[in-house]
Amino acid sequence: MDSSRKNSLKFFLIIVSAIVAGLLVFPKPFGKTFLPWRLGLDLVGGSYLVYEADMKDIAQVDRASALNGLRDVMERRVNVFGVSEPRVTTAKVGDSYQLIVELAGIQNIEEAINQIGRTALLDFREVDQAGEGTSTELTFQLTQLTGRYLQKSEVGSDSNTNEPLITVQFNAEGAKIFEELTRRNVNKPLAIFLDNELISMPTVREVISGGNAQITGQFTFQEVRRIVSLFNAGALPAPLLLISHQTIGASLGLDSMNKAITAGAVGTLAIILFLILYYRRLGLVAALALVFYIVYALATFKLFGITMTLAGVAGFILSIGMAVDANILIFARTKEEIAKGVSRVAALEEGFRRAWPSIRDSNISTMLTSIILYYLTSSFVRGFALTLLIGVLLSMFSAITVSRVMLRAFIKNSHD
Amino acid sequence: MTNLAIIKNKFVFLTFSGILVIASVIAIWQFGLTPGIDFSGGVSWQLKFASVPDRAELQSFFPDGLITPQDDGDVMIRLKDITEKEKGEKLAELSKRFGAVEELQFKNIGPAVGNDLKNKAIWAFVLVLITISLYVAFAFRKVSQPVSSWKYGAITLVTLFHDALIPAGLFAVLGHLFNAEADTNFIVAILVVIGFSVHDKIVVFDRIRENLKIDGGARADFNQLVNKSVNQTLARSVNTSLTLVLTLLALYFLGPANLQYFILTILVGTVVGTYASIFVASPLLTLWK
Repeated sequence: MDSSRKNSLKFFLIIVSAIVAGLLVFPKPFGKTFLPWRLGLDLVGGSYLVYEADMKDIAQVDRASALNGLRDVMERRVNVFGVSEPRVTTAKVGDSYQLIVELAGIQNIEEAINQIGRTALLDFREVDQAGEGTSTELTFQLTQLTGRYLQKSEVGSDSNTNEPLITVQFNAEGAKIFEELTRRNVNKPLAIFLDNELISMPTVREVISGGNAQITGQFTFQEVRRIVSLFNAGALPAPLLLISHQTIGASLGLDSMNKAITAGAVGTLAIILFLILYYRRLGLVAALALVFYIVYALATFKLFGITMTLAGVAGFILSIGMAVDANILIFARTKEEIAKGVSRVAALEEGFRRAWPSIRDSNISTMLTSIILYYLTSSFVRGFALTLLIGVLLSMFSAITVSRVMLRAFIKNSHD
Repeated sequence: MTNLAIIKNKFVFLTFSGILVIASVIAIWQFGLTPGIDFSGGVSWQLKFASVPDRAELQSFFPDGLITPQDDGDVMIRLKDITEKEKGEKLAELSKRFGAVEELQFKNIGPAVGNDLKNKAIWAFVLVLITISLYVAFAFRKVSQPVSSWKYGAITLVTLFHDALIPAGLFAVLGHLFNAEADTNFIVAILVVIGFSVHDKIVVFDRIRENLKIDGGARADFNQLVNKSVNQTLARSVNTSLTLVLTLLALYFLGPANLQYFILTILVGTVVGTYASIFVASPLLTLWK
């Protein structure tokens, strides 16, 4: 009596948790707003970029912190592009310092790549003029004044021509250098370089103190906005080289996701059909446990904020195929016990008991494989390994605990 | 319980497996496995044309490109290298010459990244093999008669090798015919197959040892005992694989095209693995006692 009440309680808990999980997973009414799916960029479309930092000018001891500095700057830059949930991570592969940038759902990827990879190094150079008239030859002398001293940059416009321009404000140290530089070059041009490209060469009219400068050039408003945000995000502490680029178009991502969901649904239905046809009433319970498993697993992915990639979805669908293995083992044992002449209830209990070591072992090898794959592969395969691992773990719970509780409840009822 | 005369007909099954293994070795040796760009580095570019472009004209547009047409105007192009700027120019020119074109997917893997991925894949492969071997050694740690314990383990590893080799051979043929590339996914698929099917073999061998204990000294006919054990575990082996095969078939026919080779490798591996659990592993045991 007592054990049956306990079982009823468990049964109740399983149903309630499955309903809660189901509400979380089901797209409407609040599954979507309360806790949206985190979809990988191979499903929503986007770019996966790997940059290598050129650290040759940076001392060995400072490289790790320079890489973190790169990540911070890159994060701010990516935010300028209004990407939803951009991810910037660092990695050290052998001697190579790498920055991995994931941009999901971005419209103009080419433009984004061009912009975020820029060093955005601003520097001022003195100009030496040689020769006369049209045959003037210009040589540029590097100065101390660089973007390092930049405090703030803003978009401005010329009060006369209304042309867009960039205002820069140097910090105290920079202001001093700038003052000194302008003093030396009154009535001479001063060259402004961005990433080693001459962008402007105004003539110095008078000594400028206070550290405010304006950069005019042939800019559009859009360009000015971009440059200003790059300045404010900060220059990169080391130049970056794009060494790997993967882009998935949004339409392909959507198409892949729809196809994967269809395949998952059809596969699940086929398994349910097989279970019911082959194992009859027991199969019905296993099929129910499978549905519970799917709901639990999806809710787990959501709750832990696991990013669902295409490979991850595939791993999950595979785990659905493997999930009923435990039930099949249990039922095979149960059938043997029944064949020996044991009562149905006792045979089931015995089936569960004797199948357990086999179920445990059978899942261990898949779990070990997933763990190794998770730690030794790149992000796309990682998703697969993770969902497969979580799936296998949860499926042991659903196939053993859930189906056992259900079977106990049903068998009791049919006896009464 | 079924009662198939598996051990009696073992040479039929072993010959069948032998032919597949030899065919796979020849295929791999003849055609080789084409490494995917995630290992070798390079560019793969998947484009969707509104109207199917002329193959020859497209080839002249990408003189060095390896062009593989896919369904409904999709084309996969493999290139050595391309800069972001060149890519933009090519895309603009393509739409001028061939009509509306959409970029479905673009991958440009640098040689350094490729090398890194290759090393990781090799490490993963080696580690999984070691782990599985340890797992097998652990499963067969108890001594038993009349076949010594390590032989169970050795045969398990040999059949696992068989399960991995046949899908690899198929892949070599697919690579030759359809430019299928052995990339990270291929390695993962092979490892998943091994991880999944190792247990199938252990279940059968466990049953044999259990029956040996029950029958005690009456080991007059080892062959018969093995045959009985295989039949006892047959339903389980087939049903477990069947549910996996059902999902794999759904994924293969209805799932995303990008995953088709990945799914096919696991599918073939699973079927071969199940076959080997029933028709290869145990017959080998009776031969080698």
